[in-house]
Amino acid sequence: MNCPEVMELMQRQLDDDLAEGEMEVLTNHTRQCPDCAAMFERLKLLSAELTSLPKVTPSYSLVDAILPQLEQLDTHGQQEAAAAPAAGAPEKTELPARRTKRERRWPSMRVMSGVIAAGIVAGLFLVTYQQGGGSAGNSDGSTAANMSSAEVSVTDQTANRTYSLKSYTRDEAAAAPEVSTEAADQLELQHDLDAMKQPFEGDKEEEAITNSGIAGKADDSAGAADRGQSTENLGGGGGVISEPPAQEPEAGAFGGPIDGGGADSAEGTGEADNNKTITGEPSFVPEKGFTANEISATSPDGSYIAKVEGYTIRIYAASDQSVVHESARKNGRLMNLVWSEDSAQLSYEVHLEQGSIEKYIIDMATGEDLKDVQ
Amino acid sequence: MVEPDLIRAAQSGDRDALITLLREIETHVYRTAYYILNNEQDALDAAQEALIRIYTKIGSYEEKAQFKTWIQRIVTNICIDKFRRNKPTVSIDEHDMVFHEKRNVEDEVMSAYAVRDIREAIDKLPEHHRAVVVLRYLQDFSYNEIADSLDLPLNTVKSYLFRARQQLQTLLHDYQKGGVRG
Repeated sequence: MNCPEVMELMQRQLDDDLAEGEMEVLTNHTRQCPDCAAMFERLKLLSAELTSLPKVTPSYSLVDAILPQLEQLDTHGQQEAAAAPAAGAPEKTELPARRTKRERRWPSMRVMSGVIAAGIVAGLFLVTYQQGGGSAGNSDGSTAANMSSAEVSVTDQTANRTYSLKSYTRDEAAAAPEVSTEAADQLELQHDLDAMKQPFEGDKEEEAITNSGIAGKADDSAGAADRGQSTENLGGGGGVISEPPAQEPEAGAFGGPIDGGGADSAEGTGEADNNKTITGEPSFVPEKGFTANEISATSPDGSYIAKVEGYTIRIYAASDQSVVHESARKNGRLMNLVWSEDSAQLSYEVHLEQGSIEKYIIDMATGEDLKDVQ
Repeated sequence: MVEPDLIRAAQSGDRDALITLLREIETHVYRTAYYILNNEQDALDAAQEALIRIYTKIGSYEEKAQFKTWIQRIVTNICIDKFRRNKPTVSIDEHDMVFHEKRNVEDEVMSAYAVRDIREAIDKLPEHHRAVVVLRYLQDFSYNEIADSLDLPLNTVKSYLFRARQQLQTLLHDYQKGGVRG
């Protein structure tokens, strides 16, 4: 046996790949051939050193480090899976993990959702058209906010339909989530429409809490869009959704609560009544560079106008524009101004950074501005 | 190294099981990346990328393959991609087999030398040779397991491994002759 052939035996010996006979051949050869013996020694040394290379471990938990990304992947998947539930099944309370499961089990959901979405988007145009007509019919009012007011009078049923249709359209808008600005643009384009039909509020915060990994970190606007998106889908006919400030002109989006059937849990109950006279001015005064935050609500009897101005609410007398009440400064976004039927109370919500919502009621008779703890 | 039940649970959509599974394999994934890329930061990045890919692709794993070779295939692919982006590839024959650094025996402990020398020598191997060595020695894989992981024929695995060892041996022997380890 020549040296190159023995070389292969040496190599295989290092991997314990030799049969008995082969081992003998190798030993016999190295006994007579000092070169091969030396080579074999060096290879054995090398192999031993390779075997004893430090068993390095990562300096931090890699899984912990990627958990936020995994959460995002979940919401991506869930967005695709969500279209079908949004068609009627009220599954909004489901956690992201479970949604992902579903996505993995039935990947064809994606296809189905596409088909359903396409159909419903077509339907959207019909409804939008009708709504536009209704709006025009009522818009003989006078204020800049009359469009919104008109829309508020849309019936429950219509609001419901509009809602679910809209959610699909928004799904489309977020269909290319990697192009976040594009999605945001589309949302914005659509916002006048949305503003008149449906407020977004509340639910996003709740979602953020359930997404423990990413809670509060809506810094990636694509991810945030998705999250808001899927929540909305899963919200089905109920509930109202808030969008992350980074991409949603709030004042525009906030047309006044049209409750399409049961306010969602984060929302409390009952304050969103279709027949309230609520105006939402789609103004675009930038605040902190990205939000437009002016929201107002006229009382049912027409005597007061409540306006969100920065972090306070001022209530003006409709007659002479004098300030009749000014709330204390609050530490969150003020939303959802709703008058009681008798114009005696104004309720509103403070959406805090951490995602929680505080509800307050201003009593016009006493001037008290109290936290609602019902 | 990973319980089949855990894999099945993860595949059936049990997210907690999937996370547990990732925790169990993260060190193995990282170790391969570390020795193929020879750089801690790149290894951390590649290992995370691999774990994310495993997370999303767990459904596509089939039991006819070994799980450990499946995950090593994912991580080596990512590493080799990275490797190609980072470094110009060289054939094993074109290697400059001489280390230019002059070292002083008194500088360091002997064993530390060996490790550093070996890592430096591994770093001179072409990507697939390197991957074969890493799977053989850091993951303790058999020829067949390496072949499955790298999607290479068995004979190719052997020839890569043998050549790589010969190459490493030559490099390290040159060190010794250079008086490094007397």
